[in-house]
Order: sequence, then C-alpha cells, then structure tokens
Amino acid sequence: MTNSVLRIESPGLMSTIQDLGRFGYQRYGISTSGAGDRDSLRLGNLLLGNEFGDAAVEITFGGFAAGFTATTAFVISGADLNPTLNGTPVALNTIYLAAKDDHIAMSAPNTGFRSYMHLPGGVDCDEVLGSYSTYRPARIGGIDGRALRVGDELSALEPGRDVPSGVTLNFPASESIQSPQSVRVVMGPQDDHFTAAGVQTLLGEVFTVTDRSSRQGVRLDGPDIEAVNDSYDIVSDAVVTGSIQIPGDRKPIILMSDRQTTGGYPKIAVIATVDLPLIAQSAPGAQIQFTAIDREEAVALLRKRESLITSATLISSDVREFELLVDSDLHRVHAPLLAGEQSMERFQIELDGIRHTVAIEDIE
Amino acid sequence: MPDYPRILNAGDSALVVEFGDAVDADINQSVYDFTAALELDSTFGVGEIIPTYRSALVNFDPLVISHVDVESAISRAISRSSATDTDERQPLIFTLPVQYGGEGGPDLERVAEHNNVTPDEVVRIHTSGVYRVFMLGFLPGFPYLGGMDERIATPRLATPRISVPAGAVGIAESQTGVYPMESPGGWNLIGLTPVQFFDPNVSPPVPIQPGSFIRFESKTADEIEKIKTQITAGEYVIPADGPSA
Repeated sequence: MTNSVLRIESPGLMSTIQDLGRFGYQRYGISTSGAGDRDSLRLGNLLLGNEFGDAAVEITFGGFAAGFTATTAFVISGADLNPTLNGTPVALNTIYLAAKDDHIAMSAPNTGFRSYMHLPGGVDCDEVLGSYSTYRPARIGGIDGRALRVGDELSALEPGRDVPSGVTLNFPASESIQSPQSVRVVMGPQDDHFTAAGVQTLLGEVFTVTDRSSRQGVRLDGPDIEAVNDSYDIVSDAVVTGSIQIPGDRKPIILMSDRQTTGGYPKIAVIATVDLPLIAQSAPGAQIQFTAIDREEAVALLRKRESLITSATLISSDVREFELLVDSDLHRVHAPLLAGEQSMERFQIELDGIRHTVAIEDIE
Repeated sequence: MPDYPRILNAGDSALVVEFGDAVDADINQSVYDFTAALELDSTFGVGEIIPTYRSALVNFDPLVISHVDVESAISRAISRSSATDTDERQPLIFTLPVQYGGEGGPDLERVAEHNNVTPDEVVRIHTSGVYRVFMLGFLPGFPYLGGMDERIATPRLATPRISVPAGAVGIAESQTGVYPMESPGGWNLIGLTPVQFFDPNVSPPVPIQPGSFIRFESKTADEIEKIKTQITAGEYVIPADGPSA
C-alpha cells in the first residue's frame, strides 16, 4: 500500500481490523462482525477526532509489534496490553504522535483482553457491504478478509489531519475486570427449555472463560446447566450477539461478533448490551457470575451508558477561550489546540454540535 | 404446547416472533409473510429482521423505540399477514444450472450405488424436485433446502473433504444444498453450478432470497461454458418464475 503509516512486525495472538460492524445482511448468512468492545472503539475514535464507527486494529492479548512508516497520530484504547512506544510506556486513551521508524509493542495484558489502535480517519482497508470489519469465515473486510500478518502495511484514511494535542476524555475510567465479574443478562428467548435448577445454576454459580474462545464465541466452563428432558437441540433460529447458548455438553457459549447468524442450540439468556464489552474484555481464566435483570432495566442502563459516551468531550491541557460573533450572536467557546505540522496554530471549535478546525494568524 | 405465534425476548434490543416449533412449509411461509408485512410497516427504529425456519428475529434500537411499540408493530404485522390470501402469494422459483457428475460431482456414483439406482436416475430425481429455501445461514448464502426425495438420501462422507469448491451441489442424509463458497465439507458432491451464491461486491450479496424456491436443471458442459461466459460478462441472471409457470 502506498500511503502506509504502520507495518505489522508481529500480529500477536490475533489482530483484525474492526469497525462497529456490518448490518443488514444477516438474513443472507452474513454476520455483523465488528469490535468486541464497542465502547472502547467509540471512545478511542472520539478522542482522535474520528467518527464513532471508524475502523481500528483490534489487538488480542498482546504479542503485537509494529513499526511506523510515516508520521502519524494514534490512540490506544480498550485493554491495557502494556503498550510501549520505542520502549517507553504508552498511556491508554491519550493521543500520541509517532514519527517514521518509531516502534510500538504490546505484551501480555495487565487488564482486559482486547486493545484498539486508532489512526486518524480510521484504518483504510477493504470496505465490503458498508463495513470495514474483518469477517474471517466469509473472508471479507479488513485486509483480504483475514487476520493481520507480519509485513502487512496499514494506511490511515486521513493521515495528515490535525489532531488535538494533550487532550483526554471526560469519561469515567473503565473499571477493571473484577473476579468474579458480575455480568447482567436478560432471560430468554429459550429459558423455558431449561429446568428451574438449570436456570438457578446459570444465575447462582461462577463460570470460567476457557481458552477455546474466539471472536465467534466465548466458551465457559462451570457446572452443567440442566435442560428439560435433557434436550439441547432446537429447530435452528436466528441469534444475537451476546446470546448464551447451551449445547449438548451443557456448558455455556456466549456468541460474539463473528458468530454465525443462526444456531440450533437453546439460548437460555442474552447478555445486556451494556455489559457486552465486559465479555469481550474477559481473557481465558476470567470468572463470570450472571445476574438476571428485566429488559426495561437493561435498556435504562444502556441509555445511561450511551448518554455518557455521546456526551463525552475532550479535555485539553492546552485550551484557549475565544469569543466568536456568529450571526450577531456572541459565542464564548473553549477550544483545544490541535497538534500538527502546520506553522499556524489551529484550534478545534465546536459550534451547535458541529466541529470546525480554525487557523489563527494573530491572537490579541 | 405454547400458543403460536408468540413473542419472546432476545436480550434488550431484539424480539423473536415464533410461529411454531418444527421444520414445516406452512410455518416457514408464515415467517416470510410476517417478515414482508413488518418490513412494509417501516416503523422507525426497527432494524434488521432475520427470518429463519420457524421464527423471525426483529432487531431494534431500544433507545429509539420501546419494546411495547415494537410489540404493537409485530402484532399489526401478524394480523395483516395472516389475512393475506394464500393464492395471492407469488413465491419465486429460481432454476439453477448444474453440471452433474464428472469432476464437479465425484460422489454421484456413490449416491447412485447407495440407493440402488443409476446415476442418471439420481439426476432425474434431483432435478424433478422443487426445494423450499427455508433460510440462509451457516455460511453466507448457504441455503437450507427442504423437500428432497428420500430415494436419493445418502449419509455424509466418513471423512469430510478439506476443500469443497464454491457452487458444489451436495446431498447429506435427506438434505440437498449448494456450497456458496470454498470450504471444508462432508456432503456427497453430485454436481457443480457456475452460479455465484455469494458475491460481496454486489447488493444483495446473495442472489437467492430466503423464502423462495430452487430447482436444479441438468446442463451439458457446453451449456455450462456459455453460462460461465455470461456470468463473467455480467450478463447472467438466474432464471426465475412464479409457481404456476
């Protein structure tokens, strides 16, 4: 690729390019894919001035290394995989400027399981059916529909764009994964396929994430979940991300973004959307305890989370106050300084919800 | 036995509308009639609807539309679709060209031997069926077909092939199907269709609609070559007609 900014030296356990997913084609058997941890993806993008859904590199469990082939800004969000830039620790959710020949590396996770590396404008790659997300089973999206390999070169869609310098987000720091981690579920659609004891086992016991987990499903180990008449088959129906299906070995599998679109096992419950990032960030060995909530409570929790994310704003250590006269209305705005290679100072100014980049020649 | 149709929760952002609990043509038709009716409603906030064997999954954004409002829209769609006159339905029948036997159908002999018929008889039986596309799933464009004649039912291969080509037409037990993309597989391969079942560069990416029907037509090598030329030139359309044609 000609305008590459990053060359993969080691993809680690698995790295793929993901955005918020591919919607509208599930009836054709094409899954949604998309980032496991949607919240981290969106916050990292917001920080870099990207659109919420711009594509990033999803890095799993560390072992990742890459060299910069051009100057670019970047942000790391999600799990803390101990990232370093030229050997110096990199803070999460912070904008960095890397120069050509700089080197980024990640080792084993400090907390969490999946990290996101964001570039200005998102990673440029194959857009298929409206999404950049890699969906390996169908070999579409990302780079040739596959996981990243040594030697892959990645480009940014807006490599030279100004980015705010020295900013962070006013968003509560994500809590680290607890042990056991409490995860909320909405019961159904096939909870009536299970005995009362089976439901009690799901909600009363602790389950452990196994290493046979992937972007398709998180397999849990724990006590057997008992079905009525010992029947673990249903006539196949459609599933959603977060469905907890119980196959014949009686152990739960949580279906994740690369799941198939349909399944033939009964689904005892579905993870509340607000808690899906917790599942995506649970590494093998993590312990999970399920709590049932009703759908209205799940929606209320989601509404609260979404309002936090959409109202998150940049806090800059280098912010100036301006008075602007717009249509004879005086606006007082706080604008963060943008980092870039231009000679003039540039600021990001938000007016009526629209972000503008303003260059200023003289400040009185 | 529960009363059908019934509406079930599938998490906080989807509802499942079940029309039964069996692989059954009438139940499956109800699913597609309902899906069409709900899509016509175009209720704001309702997203992807995924019809399957005996239910439809309705995705929606619960921050835009409430569960109760989606349930109302679902109930309206159920009433409207069950009122549809069955004679007015015009489900499409797609006719797929297949080259049976030879390199593309290495298991045609095996299917014939297992059922004590000739390979020609297998082709005759396979091409005389009209198969309902109950749903698409498993792989992009993989059709779950119903209605194959038991006289050509054959167990899966003891050792699955590492690679089955896209377009391979197969039989597994009393099911028949088409591999939409190259993948491993244990079905008995009886032929090959040049029709692309999954092309991510066009929309819709799968030419066969779930809820429609497929029949297979035996073609000679020369005829298949002509179709391939048309496909390459972008001039090929899968022949499709109504049920009475």
